[in-house]
Amino acid sequence: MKRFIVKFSTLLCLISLFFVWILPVKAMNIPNPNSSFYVLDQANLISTSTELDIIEISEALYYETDAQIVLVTLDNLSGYDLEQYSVQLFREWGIGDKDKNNGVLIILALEEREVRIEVGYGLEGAIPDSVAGRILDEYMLPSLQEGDYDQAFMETYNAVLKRVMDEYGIESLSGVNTSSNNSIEDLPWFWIIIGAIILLSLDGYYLNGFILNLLLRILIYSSFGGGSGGGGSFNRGGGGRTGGGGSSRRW
Amino acid sequence: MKKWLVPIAIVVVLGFMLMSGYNSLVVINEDVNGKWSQVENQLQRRADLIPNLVETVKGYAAQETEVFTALANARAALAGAGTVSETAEANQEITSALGRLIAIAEAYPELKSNTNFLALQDELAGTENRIATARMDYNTAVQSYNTKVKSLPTALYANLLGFSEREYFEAEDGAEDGVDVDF
Repeated sequence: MKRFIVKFSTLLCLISLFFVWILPVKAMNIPNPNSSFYVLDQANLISTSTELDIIEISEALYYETDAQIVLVTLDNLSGYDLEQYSVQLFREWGIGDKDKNNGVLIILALEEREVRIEVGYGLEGAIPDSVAGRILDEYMLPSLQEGDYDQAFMETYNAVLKRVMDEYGIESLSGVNTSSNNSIEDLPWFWIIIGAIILLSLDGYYLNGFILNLLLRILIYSSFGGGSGGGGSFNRGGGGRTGGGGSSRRW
Repeated sequence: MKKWLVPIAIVVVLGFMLMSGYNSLVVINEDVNGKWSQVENQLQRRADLIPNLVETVKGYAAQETEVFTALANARAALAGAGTVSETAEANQEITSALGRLIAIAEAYPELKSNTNFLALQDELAGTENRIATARMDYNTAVQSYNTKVKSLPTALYANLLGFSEREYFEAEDGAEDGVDVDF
């Protein structure tokens, strides 16, 4: 019996050894996208108006072509290669459509003074590496050297945008402003409020406030649920991937 | 309750376990194959850039024949490589020969500012980055495949079914070789 126990525990040890050997995956600490998805300005280099312009154009472009152009600035890369970091961020966010893989990431690391255009599989024809490099040389670097980040990003963004629009044969983006055409203002608010008052007073008379009670409960529960489930992630990426295409520069 | 039912039930259950284990091995093995062909594509892509690059450099530095020969040899070695480690070795050769070629260009200011050369350099850098990405993807796939092959209960039958450990694509002569674990 004793021998059996020894054998058994050796076996258990061996089995557990098999399971212990799982290499830990290096955590790269990629930031989550914010609610706009298209611009994440961690290094705080871009003015709000430029940011809003870019978001609006990116949304219109997505609306028309499913392509996504994203701008990210970082304080630093915490020791990683910009190239490695770009691929990881691109994939985690899923920039561009899942099947078309038509995303572009323009990313800048302030401390390392490095900037890169990362191109998804689907746009490698429209923006080959040499073109990405030339766009950085022509539009990004001159303004960066002068410290004019707004212009650097806007011009680079426009150059990339033009390439993407050419790829899809689009002359202009008509989709701009379509999203602001919200129907909430068209609702007959006056009648809704009157109806609610009538309903609630009937409720008070005949049902002892049952409906009001129910509504309040729903309200409370849903707000609690939102608090715990969210986690602050707003990923609106289409699931696009990149194979490491694009070009990098230092300034 | 008949006695012979018990062994039959055990055999049936084991059979099902074996089948599902086999199927998942097939799936991840194919994943490794797919990732490997990505690596090969990108290596080929870089090799295809070489003739163009050499032509451009020759226009300015025709006398640097040694580097051109080294590049041609490395290209041939890549084409002839069969296994993962042979491919990695040939790739390493190409990398160092290309490094020397670019270093040579530093000595020729006219070449350095040639737009064709600049574009080729960008393509080269981009391709190298793609190789790195494809290699990372491949190694990740190999890691999960090998983990599966070496862990229980798969380890008991993986070899019998023809699934053996797969090779990692090493960057520099075993520099990243920290994954072999002996029991």
